[in-house]
Amino acid sequence: MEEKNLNENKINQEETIFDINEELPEVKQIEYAIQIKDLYKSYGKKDVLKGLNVNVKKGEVYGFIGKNGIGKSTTIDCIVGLKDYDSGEILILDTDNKKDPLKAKNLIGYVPSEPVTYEMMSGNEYLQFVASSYGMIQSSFNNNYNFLIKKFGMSPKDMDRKIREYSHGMKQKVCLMASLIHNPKVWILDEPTVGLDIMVYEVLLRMIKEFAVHGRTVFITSHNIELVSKVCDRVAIINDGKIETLLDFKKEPLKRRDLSKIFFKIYREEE
Amino acid sequence: MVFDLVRKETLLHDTSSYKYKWQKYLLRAIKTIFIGLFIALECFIFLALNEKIDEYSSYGIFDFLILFLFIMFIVSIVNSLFVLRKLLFDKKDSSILLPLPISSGEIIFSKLFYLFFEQVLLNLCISTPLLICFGATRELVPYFYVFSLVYPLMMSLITTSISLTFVVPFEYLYNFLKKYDIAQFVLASMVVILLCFAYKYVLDLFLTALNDSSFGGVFSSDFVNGLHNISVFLVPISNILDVIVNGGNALSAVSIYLGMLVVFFIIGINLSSYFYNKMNKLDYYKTSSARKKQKEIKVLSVSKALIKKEFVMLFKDNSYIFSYTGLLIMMPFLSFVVINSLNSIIYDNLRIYAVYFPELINGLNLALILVFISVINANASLSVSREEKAIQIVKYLPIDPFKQMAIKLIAPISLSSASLLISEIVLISTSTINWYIFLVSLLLGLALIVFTNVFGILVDMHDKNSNIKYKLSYLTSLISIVYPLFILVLHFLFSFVSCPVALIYILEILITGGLLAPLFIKINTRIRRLFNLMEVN
Repeated sequence: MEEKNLNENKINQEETIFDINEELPEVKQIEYAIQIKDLYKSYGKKDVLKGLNVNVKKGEVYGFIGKNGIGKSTTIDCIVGLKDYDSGEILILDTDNKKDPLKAKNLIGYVPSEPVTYEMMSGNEYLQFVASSYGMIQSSFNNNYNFLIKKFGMSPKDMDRKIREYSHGMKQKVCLMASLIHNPKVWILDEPTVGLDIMVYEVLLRMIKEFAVHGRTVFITSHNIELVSKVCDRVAIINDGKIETLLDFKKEPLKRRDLSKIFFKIYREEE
Repeated sequence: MVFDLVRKETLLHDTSSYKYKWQKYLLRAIKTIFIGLFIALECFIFLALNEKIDEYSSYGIFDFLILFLFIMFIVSIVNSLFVLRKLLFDKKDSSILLPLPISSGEIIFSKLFYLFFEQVLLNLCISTPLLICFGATRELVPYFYVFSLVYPLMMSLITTSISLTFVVPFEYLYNFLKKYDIAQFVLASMVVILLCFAYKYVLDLFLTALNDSSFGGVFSSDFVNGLHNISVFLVPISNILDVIVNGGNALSAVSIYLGMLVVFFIIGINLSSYFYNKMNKLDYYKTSSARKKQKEIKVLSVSKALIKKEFVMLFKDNSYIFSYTGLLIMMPFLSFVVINSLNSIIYDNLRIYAVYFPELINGLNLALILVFISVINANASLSVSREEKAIQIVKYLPIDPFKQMAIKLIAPISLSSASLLISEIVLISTSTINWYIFLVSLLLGLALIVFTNVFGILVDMHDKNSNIKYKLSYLTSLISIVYPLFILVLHFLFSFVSCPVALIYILEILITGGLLAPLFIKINTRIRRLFNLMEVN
């Protein structure tokens, strides 16, 4: 616990773009960053989400894990607006993502499971496109851009090259940078560690922690139990379209170590 | 091992997948019928030319045969260069093959075998029938027919060796072009202009032949003598055929053929085995040292950013540059040549029908302009499909769906409209069409461009595997053909009942408006609904 506090202080002292001092008073009063209420989603006759309920508090790192094909990515797709859902409600900082999708999308930074970009663009052109789409002002963009390329170890020369010439890891870095360039309130990461080298993996861990320390929220799905147990404050294990177990590591810190055991127990019992 | 690798290449390049066996056999039967029809047509043209040429050329068709085979030889080299580049420098393929205990020599040989057989088949379908026709008309001895069958093997060997020699520089050039968009655009424009000239040349020949009602104008003595003088230099084809047909100097022909074969193979094998490893292992194109001056990245307005993205996607998609954009550049030229020649054909041969249909030529001109612009535009608005996986980005960015789709339409609509306007200006300035046709075709053409693009994007927003999309795509293509035909019929009908010319055009505009307008009712809501339903994976 003491070690964590020390880390948080260290992060606080460093230069960051995630400072949340400018937050509006009405946003400060909101308790949950993401609220999913009775979410149903099916593909044809196959029901994937069967009344899913999730409450992600502001400023926490929330892990969302489960076996393959169980609905983790579908949940994320519904949150970020990639997929329409059959019924239910999704609120991003109290904004309904169906009633006011543009406002909800503005609050989110999203990292897809596979790096998806416009590959014919250079890294710079792509970030310029994303920043322009979010209506950023020039000074904030310059500030965030310089911070992010430094954090992710991308040289200006790399950023000038076409994305199609990048390695998988570099493409993933560009996706991570694009998801943070507009300084989102909620960062949603779908399997972010696939293809990342160990150095970037470490940077990502620090960024997730730093992001949450400054009062922002992280929602993360991953097969990487080690990552989830290291960075998450709470972890939900999804099974049969609903939350099967919710673990709160702040209340029960020892459960961090047992996460993989709990995970396997749930699915073994089912089998 | 080499044969296993050849088998792998054959399997990899058999892209057809069938649910039932009968589909496979049906497709093969259709392919065979088409090849048979092509060979029959080729032989028919050759024999028809053979009869005509004797009237105008004292040298007979022999020079033309050399020319045809040489053109085929060049086409084979270019074709095999593209195929071999893809075979040798396929990153996925080399990432599987390089870790395996196979030498690069074996890999290259397996790919050469595959290429060789493909070339043999191509030559058997195109060159052998010509040689057999030639032999039959000259009543040559039986060994000539054996030579006709051996010829594809000989030529495929040499085309394979030449392409092997040039494949490495070609790969460097290809990657250079890939890196610099401006170079790509310049090359695409040059290719289109060259195609235009080739097209113009062929059409000129066709028009001359039509005007002369014979081939006298085409095969002038200058042309025939020029071809005879040039044909000697078309090695190795001219030497080999000279030996076989005229009993020429065999030693010189064999020496030239074998000399070329050995030189190209030695250079090719050494170059390609050295660079195969180097290029595939080191990923050489990543080490570009081109240092650009760092510019500040300007944040744009949402609309500007979206427009920029659309144009980047349009001009950086190679296939799109060579199909849609290329066709748009060609359209003014194409419409001028075709409409001009059609007018002269009608004027010479169908003038009599103008008694019943005074608007015959104008109706055809209008329909042709609409056919060109609608066919070119039929698949122009695939802006959603062209996004491929990046459609995710379109969906999660906080931009109004209607704005996104409207901007997606700007690029194809503006490019097509510019092409239509230039075509119209060319046609009116050369007096090929009159002012009525200029104005009406411009108006109807613009309406058609907007309609096909808007309809296209609505179709494109459906799930790519859905039946609706499949059916609607057919409808898009159908509209592009049916609408100009409909206008043509309408024009003839009104003309037949002696309707005043101005009224015909007004009615056509009104009917078109009435037909196309329903698409735009509640378009905003429809786009938003489809956008929300558009599921991406």
